[in-house]
Amino acid sequence: MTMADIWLTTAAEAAFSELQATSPDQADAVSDAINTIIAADGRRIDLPGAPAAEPFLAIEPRDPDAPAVLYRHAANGEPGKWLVVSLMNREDYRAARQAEQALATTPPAVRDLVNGVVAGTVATANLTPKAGTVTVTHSGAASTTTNPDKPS
Amino acid sequence: MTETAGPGAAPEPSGWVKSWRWLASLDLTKPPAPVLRWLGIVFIAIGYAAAGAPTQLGDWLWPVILAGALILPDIAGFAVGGFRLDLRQAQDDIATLRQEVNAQARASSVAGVAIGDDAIAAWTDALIRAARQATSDQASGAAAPWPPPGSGSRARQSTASPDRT
Repeated sequence: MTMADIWLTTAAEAAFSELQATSPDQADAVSDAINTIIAADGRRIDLPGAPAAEPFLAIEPRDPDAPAVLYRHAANGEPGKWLVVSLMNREDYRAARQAEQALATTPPAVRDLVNGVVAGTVATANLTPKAGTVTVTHSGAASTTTNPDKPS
Repeated sequence: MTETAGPGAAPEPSGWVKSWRWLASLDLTKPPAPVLRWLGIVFIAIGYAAAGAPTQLGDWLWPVILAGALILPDIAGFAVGGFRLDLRQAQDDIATLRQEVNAQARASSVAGVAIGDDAIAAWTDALIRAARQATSDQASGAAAPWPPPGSGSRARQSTASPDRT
């Protein structure tokens, strides 16, 4: 597996460039974290918007202030095998993780309510077969196209 | 100043209804009702003894019914053949059950308060923020292979072990 198997979104690339300029140490930590993507899967984080078959995964760099790396398997029509989707502010990432853990202990009704609100609020990604093209719709249900043959 | 009932007010209950409501509200198990009930039974017995003991079985029917009605609130239960109705036990069970239901209702209410609207709102907010960023960044599309050209990043498999938490 080559490093070209890992691709970055435009947003992730821009965030990484900015991090290199403002905080080289954090950028190095993020770089190391991205390099480990091919070695082992990160921890799954259930956020709406990911293709159904390719949930978001996350790695926390060793630097506690560095942004978390949010990535997933590349979907059908996307280049490479992995796509670094976003570099997420560490506090936002921790808050989302804590919320996810807290919700896991709540009654199903509460969990469904919150998940429904979150899913209904954020945009859902509609991946088209054309390489590098991702359109966003604001409808309630995601209409995603994924590659079932892609290893997970 | 007197208040008059409006056009939508309920009609005044009749005297019979008032009397029945008053009768139904009486608690025949609390003093002085038990004393009066047992005095009634004694008077019935004295009256029958003074009039002479009935010789016909049917003549016993009404005093027995009357005495039974007077003594009914003090009866703890019935046992006829294999059937047993324990009224006191049933009342106690109902009271216990009511207490348990109330306790569970209070516990559920406390649990709801413990979770709290604020906590739920905070969780929702955190997840929405994260999901929005993820979907927004994802929508920007796959743009460049790793490492980005000219970034100077190390294109190698790292030996570092980032926290996978």
